[in-house]
Amino acid sequence: MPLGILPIYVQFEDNGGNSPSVQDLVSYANQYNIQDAPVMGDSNYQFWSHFEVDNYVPTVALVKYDGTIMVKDDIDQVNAQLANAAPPYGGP
Amino acid sequence: MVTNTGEEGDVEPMRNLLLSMILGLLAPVALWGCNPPIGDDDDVVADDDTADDDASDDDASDDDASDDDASDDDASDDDASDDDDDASDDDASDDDDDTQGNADPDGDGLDNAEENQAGTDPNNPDTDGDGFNDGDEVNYPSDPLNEHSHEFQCGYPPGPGPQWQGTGWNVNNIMNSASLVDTCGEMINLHGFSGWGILFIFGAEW
Repeated sequence: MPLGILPIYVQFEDNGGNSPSVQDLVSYANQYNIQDAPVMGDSNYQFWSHFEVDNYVPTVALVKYDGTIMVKDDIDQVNAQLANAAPPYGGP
Repeated sequence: MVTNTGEEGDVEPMRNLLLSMILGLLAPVALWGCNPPIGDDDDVVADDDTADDDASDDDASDDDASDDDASDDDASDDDASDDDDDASDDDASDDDDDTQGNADPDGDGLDNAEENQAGTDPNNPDTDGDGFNDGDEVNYPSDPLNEHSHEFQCGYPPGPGPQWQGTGWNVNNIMNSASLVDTCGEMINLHGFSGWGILFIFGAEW
């Protein structure tokens, strides 16, 4: 059964350009008051290409509940999908 | 002096013998008042099963006249007294208790009826072996029969477990698996969120 949308925040580097430590992730979550969503560190740069393609500005990807990648690296398309899609994209 | 010494020498062994016999008789009575031994129910069941045997042993040992046999009787009497306590405290059959619907023999927080409903093993607190007990998984909820489905330490919800077969990272692919570290320091397999739609937000702190 579809469960809705879960945001996952992925950090590549800390503010010194190093791999984010767990404490860096905790600080990030606290700074932006992220309490119920995963904040994760990608120290192996597995998702770096999504970040690099947008000239290193924060970017997004939307994955359907069956694992299908619907949109990546395009915030406008993500917003359109979220606005127009029927549940489960309406929220948990 | 010689006579007195001789009398004391004769009396002392008798006194010791009488004392040991009295202590031997009192020992089981004293133990009878002790609390039953703390153990799991299986031990209790085993003891109950042997209670009759112990009783028959007592009868047999009563026929023996030697002091050594008497001390052996004490040991068997101890067992018998513990067994009696256990039997009276835990009702006639612990086997029946363990299989009753409201019993929780593995102590995972689910009684037998709930274990049956969830399909979990009533004698194994962690049926899928993922380190999270069945009761916690059912209540979270996550799938207690899927080792990849469990609550995450940081509290966000899991999906039903990895059910995706990754094909790539392009649009219309099925998302490949990846493991990332979270704010609790645990490595998270992203396929653990199957069943959720996921909005990834990629960034850096600089």
